[in-house]
Amino acid sequence: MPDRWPCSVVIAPWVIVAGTLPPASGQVVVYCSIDENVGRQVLDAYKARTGVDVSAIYDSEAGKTTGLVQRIIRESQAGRPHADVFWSGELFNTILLARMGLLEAYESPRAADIPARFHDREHRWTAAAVRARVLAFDPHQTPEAQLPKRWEELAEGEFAKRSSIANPLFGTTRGHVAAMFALWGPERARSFLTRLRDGGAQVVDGNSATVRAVMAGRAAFAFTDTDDVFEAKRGGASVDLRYLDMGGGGTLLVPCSVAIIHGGPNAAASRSLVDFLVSPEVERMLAQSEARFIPVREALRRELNIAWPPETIVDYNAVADAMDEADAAVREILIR
Amino acid sequence: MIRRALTFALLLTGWAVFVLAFVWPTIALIARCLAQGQTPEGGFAVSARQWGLLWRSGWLSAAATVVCVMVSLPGAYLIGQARRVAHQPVIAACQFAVLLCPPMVYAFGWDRILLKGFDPDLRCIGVWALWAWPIPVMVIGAAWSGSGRRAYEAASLVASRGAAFIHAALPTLFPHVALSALILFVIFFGDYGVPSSCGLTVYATELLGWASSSARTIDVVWPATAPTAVTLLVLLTIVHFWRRCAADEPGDGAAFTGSPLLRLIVLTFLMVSGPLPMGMLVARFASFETIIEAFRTYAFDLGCSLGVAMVSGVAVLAMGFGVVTGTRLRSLTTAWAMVFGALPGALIGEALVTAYNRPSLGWLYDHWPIVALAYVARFGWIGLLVALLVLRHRVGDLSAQARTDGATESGILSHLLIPMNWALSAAGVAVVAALSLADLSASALVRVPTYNPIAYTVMDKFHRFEDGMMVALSLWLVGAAILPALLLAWALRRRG
Repeated sequence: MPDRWPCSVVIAPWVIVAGTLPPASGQVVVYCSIDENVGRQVLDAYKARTGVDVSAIYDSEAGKTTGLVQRIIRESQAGRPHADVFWSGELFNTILLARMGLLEAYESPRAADIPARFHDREHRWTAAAVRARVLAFDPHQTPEAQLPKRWEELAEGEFAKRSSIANPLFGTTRGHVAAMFALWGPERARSFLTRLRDGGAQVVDGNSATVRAVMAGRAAFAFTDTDDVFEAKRGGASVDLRYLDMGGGGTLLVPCSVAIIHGGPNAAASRSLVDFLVSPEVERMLAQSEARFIPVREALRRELNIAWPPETIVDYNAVADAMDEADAAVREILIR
Repeated sequence: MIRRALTFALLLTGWAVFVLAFVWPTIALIARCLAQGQTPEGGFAVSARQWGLLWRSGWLSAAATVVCVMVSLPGAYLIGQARRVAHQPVIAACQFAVLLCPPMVYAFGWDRILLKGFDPDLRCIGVWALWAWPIPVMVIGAAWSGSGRRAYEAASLVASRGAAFIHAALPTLFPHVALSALILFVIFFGDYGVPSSCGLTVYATELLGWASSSARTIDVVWPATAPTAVTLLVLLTIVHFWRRCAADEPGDGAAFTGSPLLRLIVLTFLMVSGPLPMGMLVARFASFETIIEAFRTYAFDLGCSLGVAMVSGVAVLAMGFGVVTGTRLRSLTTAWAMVFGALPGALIGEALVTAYNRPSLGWLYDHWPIVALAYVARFGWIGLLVALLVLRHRVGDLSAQARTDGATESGILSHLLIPMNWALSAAGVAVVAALSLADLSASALVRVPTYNPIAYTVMDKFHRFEDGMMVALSLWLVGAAILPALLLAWALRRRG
């Protein structure tokens, strides 16, 4: 034993691990910022149907969609994109990737029944299955009558002090703040951020953390997405949601998006996967998942008896345009 | 011939790992910083938020360190009285089991035990302290079993027990107490998982966000400078105390098992550390069906995570022995590994991406070895310290005899010193593997499509409010930790 142990100790684990891991060649690689439990379910369904081996890297709580986007950019800049498909939980970063020329144009026949505003004119991305930006609160702690009606009200003294918002440099909160810049104009949006900061709003590291702050009683109001509230409620938490007015009587709706990475290693297989991801079948799966996405296909909403939430109509390209300015303002005002 | 080949393979593996995990990433990171420009996007000013987060990381870590050392004292006394860890195999194995479980799992358990609205800072401090207290138990216990007890026994002949302890024993224990405190501080200061599980944002959280979202390397390097400086300072102090502590050997007197009351206190701490939060999780959420479902869904990720963590542990030890044996570069390699140990995990990930995100290196970047390299880069200093500890025995009689018989230095290491210190080496592998399994920051930027590290899945389940699945996966991780702890207990019993 003493004579041979260095060899066996050095080699054995490598053999074990090498034996457990499959080769990466011949796979479709997806960078996915849809929640892991939902994303895995959908990708497993595709795998079962086609036999194609799908490997996914999911986003982390720290970097969220932005982390995967930076990864795509760095890998493309290095001359070898590693992913074939980008399946994102939001749209704004996908638009930015398209503008950088990192996405492949592809018009999926399975997306023909998706409304036009959820397609890129140059077919570089397709959007479907939306979530809404909502206010989460504990109905046992805060009666309905005491809730604000507009997003802007949250920056006012008492509301701001009891509010919790995810770091607006990441995730859907980043898009939400950029949408404020696009809809309200820079002056009004900056004033909102300043009053939020001065009022003492808590900045935490994710949307689910804002909901947890409400659940723990550390905050009364959370800026979050519908899926976080539904998932917390499923876990037995005393939380509820309200759609606040962002302008025009509705709130921001954030669609998921699907795109093919330009120069990805498995171009042919990636089209087949995109066809599946934009299909009504997947939108139905997402609507019926714990995250309860809202289908963009009207027929599907009727079939599943899902109401379209009150919406602020916003040009998603304009929101993407405003992201840099919004990021700079957030760094200057809120995260400083 | 075969022995020489094996020794050569060990040295070669060690150096190869060192170059891949430390040398090349350092060169790549510096080159990229120089090529992209040396001014961060926001300038060199440190924002009030950054200072605030740094302050929070610092005081949370310091407070947890103090509590942890205090909690460890009865256990350290018990281990010290027994002369060797081997004389308290059950206690030692239980402590090891507590340490090997990812600490965020305990955070989830305490979340269910404590009242709604319990202060998250206090929860974070408590979770850290109750997870890591076996570390000071081992370090301070070793001191008490050696010079501390000798000084105490000699002084108590001419003074009262209290005076003997305060004036004679305590000064000899101080370097070990300081050493263990500093080790704890480094571990807590760089941790992201426990604060995140407690709903807290610390500097490591923010830095990981910057590393994930920044296009320019300098935008990660600059914010990482402050925590690196703090940690490096602490690590240098560790080395200082390490040198003072290294010569301490257990005394030759009789071993004591400790009083029943003391054993009860230590066992109570053990119960509160591990079984209590885990039991609460099990009682509240786990069902047999969920545990089976978790295994069915995540068996592959769990197996790969354990495998890669084990490989990292072995690679760290191989590297440690490889680079400190028969070379004059020992100080340089140790210092290099220490610097990497001081770097925030996010910056290590950034360095590895910079080094290996190249068309010709897809074989590495796309697969599990890049994740293992991240763990090695982050925890490599542990391997070097273990190797240096083992090498202390090079000056002993057996080694001198082997040299007289014509053995080479590397031969003495691989065929005499490592087998003689296999328990220490195995503990080093296990600790690195456990830390790797729980790592969330170094590997965040180098995740591969082939498997999803289980620590991310557990954390994701927490954030997605999937408590049942989170508990089930946590239990599988605990199961994975208990097995090596049982093996350790068995080995220590044989040795004892």
